[in-house]
Amino acid sequence: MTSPFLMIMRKELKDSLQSKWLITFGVTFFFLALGVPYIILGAGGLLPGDYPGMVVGTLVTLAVPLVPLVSLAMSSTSIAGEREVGTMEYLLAQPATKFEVFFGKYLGLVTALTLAMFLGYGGAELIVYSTNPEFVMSFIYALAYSLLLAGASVGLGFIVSVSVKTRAAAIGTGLFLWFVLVVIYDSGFLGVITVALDADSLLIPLTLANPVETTRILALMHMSESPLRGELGPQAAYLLQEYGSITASRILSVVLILWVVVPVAISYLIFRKQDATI
Amino acid sequence: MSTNIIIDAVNITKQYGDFKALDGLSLQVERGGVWALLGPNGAGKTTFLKCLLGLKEFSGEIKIDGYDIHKDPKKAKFQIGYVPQHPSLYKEMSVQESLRYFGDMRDVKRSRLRELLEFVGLELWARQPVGALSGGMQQRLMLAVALLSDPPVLLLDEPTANLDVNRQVEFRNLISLLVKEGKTVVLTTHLLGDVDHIAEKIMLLNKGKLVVKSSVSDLFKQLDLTSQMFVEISDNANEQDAISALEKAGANDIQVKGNWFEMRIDPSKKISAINNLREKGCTINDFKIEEPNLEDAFKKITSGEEN
Repeated sequence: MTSPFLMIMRKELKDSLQSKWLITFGVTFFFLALGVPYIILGAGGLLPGDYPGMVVGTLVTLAVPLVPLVSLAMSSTSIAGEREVGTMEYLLAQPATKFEVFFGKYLGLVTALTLAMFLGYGGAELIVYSTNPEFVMSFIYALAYSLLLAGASVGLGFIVSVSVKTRAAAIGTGLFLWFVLVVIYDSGFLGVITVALDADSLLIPLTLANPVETTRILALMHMSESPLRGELGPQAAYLLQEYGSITASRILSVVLILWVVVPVAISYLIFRKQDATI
Repeated sequence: MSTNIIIDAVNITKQYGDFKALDGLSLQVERGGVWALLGPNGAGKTTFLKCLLGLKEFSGEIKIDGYDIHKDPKKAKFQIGYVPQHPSLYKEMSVQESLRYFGDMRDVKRSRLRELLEFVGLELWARQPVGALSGGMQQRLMLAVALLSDPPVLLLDEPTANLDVNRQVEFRNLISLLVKEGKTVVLTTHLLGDVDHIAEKIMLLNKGKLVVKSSVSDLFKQLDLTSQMFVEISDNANEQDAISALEKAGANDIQVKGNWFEMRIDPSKKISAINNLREKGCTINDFKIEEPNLEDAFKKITSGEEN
């Protein structure tokens, strides 16, 4: 017998790979990561030797808003969408446990996002780094942290998905969450709060309370050789000053892993205690 | 597991806020036949059906063919084929892919898929997407999916509610075939015609509790619901002889209106009444019978509950 978990995971993977969101994301990411300058400079034979180092910083800047956008949009509708049309109830009426259904969908979606990032992100970088492999570790870190950010975003999206009744409400809430995590945080609100309260110590908890910020700082901290490392910002500077580079990096890594594990655990606990339709 | 009880529900309570959809409901369903789960809107029929499948959280204990839906949900659900009220398959999958997808979950051989496609008359539609099928076809496909692993129990939620008359007849015929194969079918319906046509036994719920569990004929007896019979006798017959013949057969409340005799009689004694009249030399010109129906029973029970 094929395990229901594998059946559900395979279907979620297939559906996700056919989703307009993911295709648009993969293609957009490929061209953004490859970089228009690379095409122009490469065509003219004017590519500088440290071009990959310059690009890896751009990659992080790109991944930080795009990865949570696509992950939240897809994951927030994953369960709510199926509930709305009745297929979730039918699936749960089959000889499958809630664990198999939930994690089949979760891992299917994460696998699809991973593939899209490897193809979109990785494909472009393979081209760029073939000219200079010196910055390959920075790229691997950037990709790894982007994948963790995707995992965290899918977990958050699943909390939304198990908590709302309709697909429309799910996508609305998912996009609002993205707006808070990416746009609001990026608008300098951390600085305003810490200055207004005269409490620099709030900077770290407020940064760690956002997986997007955690990822951004962590990825940039690993770009020791990148010309764009200077864009670390005040939070990272404060972290480095307080804890030093190694400890700060460890703290951020642990927090990011927690951001992957905790939301998915919370969403599963909610799902497990719910009726098939809410 | 082969005890005679195939569904054993004990003290099932399902609460939504202050409202108890199921209130300590206990019932056992014996193996075989068609059982209709009846009740007014909000009685708890669909909620109970979904509890049987583990689709709703509830307190109490439900065993399907001996398997506890809480403790052993996969094995319990393996014993059940479910047809929901509204078609709930993936619209983009083809008919064949749907059967394969759910069949693989139940370890079903490919030859079984072909058998089922023929059984529900969808072999020509195998490559069509589910979304392109009519409501009746989707309902038949759901029945095919429900039968994939040849489960002993079929749960049907308002199976004919969305079908036109011809499709209703087709669906009922399919169910009759399955019952002959030994399946236990539990269906919820608000169409009492369904019950008259296919169900032998009923379970009536009201306010989340089991009010009646009985065969249809026993229910009429319990409620003292009798047939209404009308007999037209020729002019030359003796009225008193006719009345005594009818009374001898168990008829009561006999009223004479011209040549017509109107009476209430136990459905099983209608033939005796006709034979008795003939023995008394009465010539019967015409007769008609109004059978008791479930609607009357339903009203009588639920009005009794209200009071």
